[in-house]
Amino acid sequence: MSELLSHLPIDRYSFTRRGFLRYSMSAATAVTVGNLPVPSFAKDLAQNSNPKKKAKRCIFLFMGGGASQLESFDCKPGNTKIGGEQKTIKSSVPGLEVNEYLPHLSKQMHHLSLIRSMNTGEGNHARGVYYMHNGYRMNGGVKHPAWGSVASEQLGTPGFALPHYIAIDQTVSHHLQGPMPSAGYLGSTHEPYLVDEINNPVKNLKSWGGITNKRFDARKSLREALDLDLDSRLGQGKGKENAELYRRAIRMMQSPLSKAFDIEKEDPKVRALYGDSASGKCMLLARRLVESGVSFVEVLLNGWDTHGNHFNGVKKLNKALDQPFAGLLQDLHQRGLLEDTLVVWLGEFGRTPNINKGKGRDHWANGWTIALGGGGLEGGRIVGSTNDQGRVKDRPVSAEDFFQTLAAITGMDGDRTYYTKNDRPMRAVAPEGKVVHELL
Amino acid sequence: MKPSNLKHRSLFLPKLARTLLGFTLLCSSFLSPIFAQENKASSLDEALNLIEKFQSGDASGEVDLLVEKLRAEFGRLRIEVDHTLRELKNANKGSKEHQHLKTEHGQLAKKVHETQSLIEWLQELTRPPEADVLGLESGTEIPFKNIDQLARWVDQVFYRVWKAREISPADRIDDARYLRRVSIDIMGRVPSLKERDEYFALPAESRRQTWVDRIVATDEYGENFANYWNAYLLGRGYLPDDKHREPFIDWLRREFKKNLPHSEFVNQLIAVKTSNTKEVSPNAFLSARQGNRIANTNKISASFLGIDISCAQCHDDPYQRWTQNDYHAMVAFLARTREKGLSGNVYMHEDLSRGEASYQTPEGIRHTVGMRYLDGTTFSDYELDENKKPKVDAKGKKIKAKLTRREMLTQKMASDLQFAKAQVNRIWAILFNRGIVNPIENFTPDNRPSIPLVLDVLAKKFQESGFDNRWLLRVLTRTHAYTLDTKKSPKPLKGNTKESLVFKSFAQYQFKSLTGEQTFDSVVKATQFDKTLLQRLGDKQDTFRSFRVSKKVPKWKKYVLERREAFLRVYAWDPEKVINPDLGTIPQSLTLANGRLVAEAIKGDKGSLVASILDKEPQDQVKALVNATLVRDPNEKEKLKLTEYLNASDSKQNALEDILWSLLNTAEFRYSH
Repeated sequence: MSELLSHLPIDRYSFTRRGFLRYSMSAATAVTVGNLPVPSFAKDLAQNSNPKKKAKRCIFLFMGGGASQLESFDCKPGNTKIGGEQKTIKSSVPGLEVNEYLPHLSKQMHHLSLIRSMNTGEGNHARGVYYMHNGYRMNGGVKHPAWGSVASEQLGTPGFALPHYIAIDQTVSHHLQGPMPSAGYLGSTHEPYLVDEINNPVKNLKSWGGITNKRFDARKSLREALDLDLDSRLGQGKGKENAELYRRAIRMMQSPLSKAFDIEKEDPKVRALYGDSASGKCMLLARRLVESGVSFVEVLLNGWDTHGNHFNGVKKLNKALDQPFAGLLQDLHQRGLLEDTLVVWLGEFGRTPNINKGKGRDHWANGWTIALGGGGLEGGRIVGSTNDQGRVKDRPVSAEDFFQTLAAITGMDGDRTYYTKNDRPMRAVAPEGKVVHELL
Repeated sequence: MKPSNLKHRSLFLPKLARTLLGFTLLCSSFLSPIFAQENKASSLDEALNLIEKFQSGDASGEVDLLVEKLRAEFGRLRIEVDHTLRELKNANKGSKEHQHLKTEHGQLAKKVHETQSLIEWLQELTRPPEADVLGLESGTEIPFKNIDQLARWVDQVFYRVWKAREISPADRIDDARYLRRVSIDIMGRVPSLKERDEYFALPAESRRQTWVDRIVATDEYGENFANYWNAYLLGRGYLPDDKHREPFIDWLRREFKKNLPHSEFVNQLIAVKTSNTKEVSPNAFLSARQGNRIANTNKISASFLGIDISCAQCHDDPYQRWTQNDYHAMVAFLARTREKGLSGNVYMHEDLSRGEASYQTPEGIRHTVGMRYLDGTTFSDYELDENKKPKVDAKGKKIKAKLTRREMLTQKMASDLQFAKAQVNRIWAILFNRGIVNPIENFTPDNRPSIPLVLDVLAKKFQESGFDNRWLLRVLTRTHAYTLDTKKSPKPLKGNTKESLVFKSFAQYQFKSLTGEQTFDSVVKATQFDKTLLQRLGDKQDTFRSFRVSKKVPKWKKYVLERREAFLRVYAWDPEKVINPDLGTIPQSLTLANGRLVAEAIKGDKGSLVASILDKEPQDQVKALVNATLVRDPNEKEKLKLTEYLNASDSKQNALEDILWSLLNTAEFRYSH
């Protein structure tokens, strides 16, 4: 972790109080750190100046395809019409029952709060994926940045060795049924870094076939020399951009922080918390990355689009989710990381209350559930509810409201204005969004 | 719109004044309610004021404001029209109410139309004046006999536009840069050293044209555009179990090599019927969205008409002209198409005899609509007589139409100029990294083409050419604009220095990054890795990239396929934008810096570039390396630096590999410019 400080281009980073805080706090909260060379005045600053805790990192668990609210956190066991055939079990929150195939998670529910009244109106996969990633509706013209990219821009520390936004896609047979999240007009610095094979999470960090460091350095300086006068010859500044990209790539190659990708190094006891499954590995990697200071990690677990044979499908899916998710909460909590790491469980929408002819549930955007916890939130709160037809009964929450709330929790500025390529001003969150204060 | 541009309108001010007076009268008649709401003192006064301001050259702001007002009104009117229409349908025919509604609907529809033309007319005012300066209106016969003449005519328009907008265009590039630019755009890769020599051996005065005419006829042109359309039509995602993709790419390659007309290409994607399981169905295009007719309607109109109508799926679109009814009338063309999976991972789409498009309004009313194209033309499942009544046979049975619903759609699209415009604009955007209408899927009343005349005329000529994509590429690569430098004009700029206007006017060429496929193929070609592999793994019969999906894939091809797939995965995450001016991502840089492809390709193995120049003099080695990758000759500084590096190294081969690595990792290599 001392690496974190030694690699900071201090000269490039304006040494404001806030800026310094960001460094010292992200360092001070990481558990693996022994004796940090954090100057004492910085520690004082970190302790005194920000009494209200704010999440500094975020983990998105995105259930691609749309997970069922009725077979997770908004079960209606007595309701013969929409309740479905699965049972519920008690959870660690008195009065809150969850789906029977979430036994591990049921014991961690006190860390989570629920919004049971998501009302987003986008029942199409692509549009839903876009809306629940970006907080804007897909309109064909402007390409909005994913929330992870906004977090990268606002929470990320310039000069940090790893990408600020890392997306882990566990997909083998399923595919996110919508546009992959992208940085849109925020530009390539904030593009998500994709981990698409959990057993080989980071590729090409070492030269294939191997060359000596000396030779690599020689190549590196040759490359720089060749691009040096590109901008004066051809204009448009691409030489400079490319140089920055290689600086970042090489920083990542040489940084000890990249060890975070090596999940095999994790203590077996900790690994056991997550279980030995692909989704478990994804969640473990997510924890290792936020611990190293990555601002935003997204885990994509696809395959929740259960139009047919829903109950068998959900049984398997819930089992695959249960222990890893519970393990993640437990592990983050034990390390004291949960305090400033916000964990969000969501999908592009929920599933219909009505069960179709093929024993399936279809797309439902008029009353579905998001679970979130950590990041200084008090767990166990429930916002909004659905009626016995599964529609929102009270406190409808839109995607704009939801992202405005995330901004409030993480101390991000939802009103910060960015400019699209055509110089159109766009806010980080659409201005019509209102914070869901009940959660805070 | 800068006021300065308006000054050039002095030529036709009298005409403008006349029209404005006409506009004033219009305002006072049917638009008066609008102004009465917003501003009581308006109509006549406002319009007269506007004329005065125009004469003094500062009215653009006013026009914009007026347009905004009108557009809001337009949206309201459209919704009203649709509501009246619904009521009309529900009313009893012949009743008084029906009569009343009919009159009301007619009046409203007229108003909508008039408002729309007024908006367009006002926008015409703030539009760059090239057409008037040239004394040409869109659609006038352009005197040209061959593509060179057409390209010169396009140039003439551009010269006027640049002059009118007070922009100095960038300098023109030399032959070497043209070779690299055009080879990447058409063949999808940098030229080989051999091709470079052939190019420079051509007579200088016709070198570029001859070269383009030669490479548009190569198989690699087909491969390059197959790659483009594959990514565009099926999406960028690259999955191992993606069953549609390989057969679909294979079909694309085959058809592009044959130079299938664009109209027929689209017809096959949408309407072709395949029942033979051995045939690859181009309908994989429809299957890519699981045959979902809503998603397919959106994709079809965006891809082939450049029009995004998706907003109107759930409600009338207040910003464009489309109503929910218009939208679902388009969906109706696909309402009788059903996806059917056959053995061997082939999907076919069959046409049923039943099925209608229906939708629910925001108010919860359900409607069923028949086929109606965006321009209002209706279609029937039956043969129609002169009175638009279905024809009947001897037994009194209605005679079925010869075409299927989706065939009716593709035929109609091909006859619509918008179809040709969208394709011209797309090819333009591939070459220039920016459409004349930009973004290319966004032809809307408020997103006007930046050079409308050129787009209109080229679209007509493209139609006349029989939708010949090669013809189009030959014309566009011959234009002056295509040969401009990426660097700003060295001349001092007088008027407009705003960068966006310069790019919008195509007065400076914009950098664009190579796609994943183009990067892969360029690395292979530049390093002669294809030759190395051929020597190492045998099999000489086929050219490098024309591998086919078959069980008997030769060893070396399999090897390349595997490399390519691993490589493309890194690029697949790239936002699905096929044209991307941005720099790549960290994983892409890491792939080029450390990945297996580059590591193997730069090695001095038999057949490789490094091996072929190992015995040469340092200055020749440097020249060959820079020629192979950046196509141009090395400059003095590079010569010095690189020969110094070669001389200082213990191992010549290592030094050559290092230099080649560095060249492949430069921005100059990763971009087209």
